[in-house]
Amino acid sequence: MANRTVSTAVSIHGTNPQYLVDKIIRQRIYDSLYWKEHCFALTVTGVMEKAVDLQCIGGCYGGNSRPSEFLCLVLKLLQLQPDREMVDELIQQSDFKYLRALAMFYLRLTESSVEIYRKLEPMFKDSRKLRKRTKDGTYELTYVDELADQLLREQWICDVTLPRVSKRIALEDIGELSPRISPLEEDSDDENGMDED
Amino acid sequence: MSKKSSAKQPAKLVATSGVKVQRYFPGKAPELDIDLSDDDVNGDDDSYQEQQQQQPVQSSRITIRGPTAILDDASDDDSKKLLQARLRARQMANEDSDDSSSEASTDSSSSEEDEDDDRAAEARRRAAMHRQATKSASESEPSSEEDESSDEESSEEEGDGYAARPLFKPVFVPKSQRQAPVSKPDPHGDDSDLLEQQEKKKEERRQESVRRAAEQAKHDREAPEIETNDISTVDDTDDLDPDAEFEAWKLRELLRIKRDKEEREQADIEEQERERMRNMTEEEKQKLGLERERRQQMEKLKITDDEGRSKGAFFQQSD
Repeated sequence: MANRTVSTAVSIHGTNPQYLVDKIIRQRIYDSLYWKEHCFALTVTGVMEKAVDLQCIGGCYGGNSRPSEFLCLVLKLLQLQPDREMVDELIQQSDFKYLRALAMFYLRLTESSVEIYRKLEPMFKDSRKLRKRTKDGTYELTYVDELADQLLREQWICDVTLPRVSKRIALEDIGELSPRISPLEEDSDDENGMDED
Repeated sequence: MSKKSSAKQPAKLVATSGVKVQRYFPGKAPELDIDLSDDDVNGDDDSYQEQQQQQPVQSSRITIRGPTAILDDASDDDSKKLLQARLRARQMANEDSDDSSSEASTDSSSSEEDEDDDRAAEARRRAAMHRQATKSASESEPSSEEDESSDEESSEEEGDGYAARPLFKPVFVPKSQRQAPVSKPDPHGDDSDLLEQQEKKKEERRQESVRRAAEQAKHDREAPEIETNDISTVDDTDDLDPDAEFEAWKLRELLRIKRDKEEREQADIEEQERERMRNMTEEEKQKLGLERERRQQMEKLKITDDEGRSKGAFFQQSD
């Protein structure tokens, strides 16, 4: 069956990974033309190829709420459940920004809080542009760092309810994370140090 | 009670009002029937007049109509004469109409009443009324004044036709025989004025629409509407202007840093507050709690006061 999660998949957040996308949206994706035409029998590498060709990110759009291709690929990744290393690799690569955006989204859905902070915060440095399709079908400009920030703070992106993530302060208090130092702050620290010298 | 006995006992006439009770038919004007019609027939005109002059107010009780009552209230000599003349005229009319009304009632009961019958009856009644009026005027030889007034009254009687005119029954007319009331066009002057106004309005409207179209066209030319659904409207090509892009990123990053810092400070303040509460003794806590309660109550009072002013008369008890 085309819409079934792979048999080797482990449950994420205590459920079938595909259920991380809400039922209605999931059903719309199953019914969408892109899913049937382009996502049938895809492997992880196939998803990567498709992600490279992506034009925009976004949730459902238009009058009849068509799911975007980005959303279809997110569901496909959830269905296939790629290795953790592979996802890390997809995030680390800097050639394809939409592929990185997809991997970031998948990571946010599936990983634990600490991992999410560790992997997504470095993306604050990526200032590349992304096209985002809004609900009414129009496009708007966003950035990779903005997407990373939203993924860490918002509860709801691209019509997908994100799993809860602990607050950074709480994680710092229990010693799981060290305080984040922005590249700008690093620079200013360096400058200060140089001044003092 | 017979009519003759009523004439012999005038006191009783007043007490029982001596009115011949007519049956009331819904949708049919009540027949104005005054008992005194008998007197004329018997030729007791003088005695009747005397009686009328003695008890004008009481006689007014047996009349049903408004105008006479008003006249009585005035209680003038003239008005009395007027009243008498009017009464007499009405009696004659009634005398005649009694017959015709009995006819009409039988007709109506037979439910095949025709309009023609009605008209004929009315015409007959009117003619009789005229005849009687002229006859009585010549016979009784009243003063010239009274004669005039009686004539006037009779003509008035015809004019208002309250008692004489029957209420027409609605009659079904087949569609083929119906004649739509011809709507007469207005006098030419008004008509042409109206037409002119209409023309003027039309012209104004036309000009307005032309003006709007021109504005729209101008607007479109100056700022063509952006088709936002087109993918090319948003360019996601990087490194077109690296410096500007870097500056934009820097701004975003700084805002993020600032936001995080504020959040951390807020959390610190809350933590400190918690720590302070933890270190307080029980008495201090109670004192603090009381103080806070008083403050909150004051605020609440203030708020309700403000709200009370802005609210209307309604829903004041809701809070």
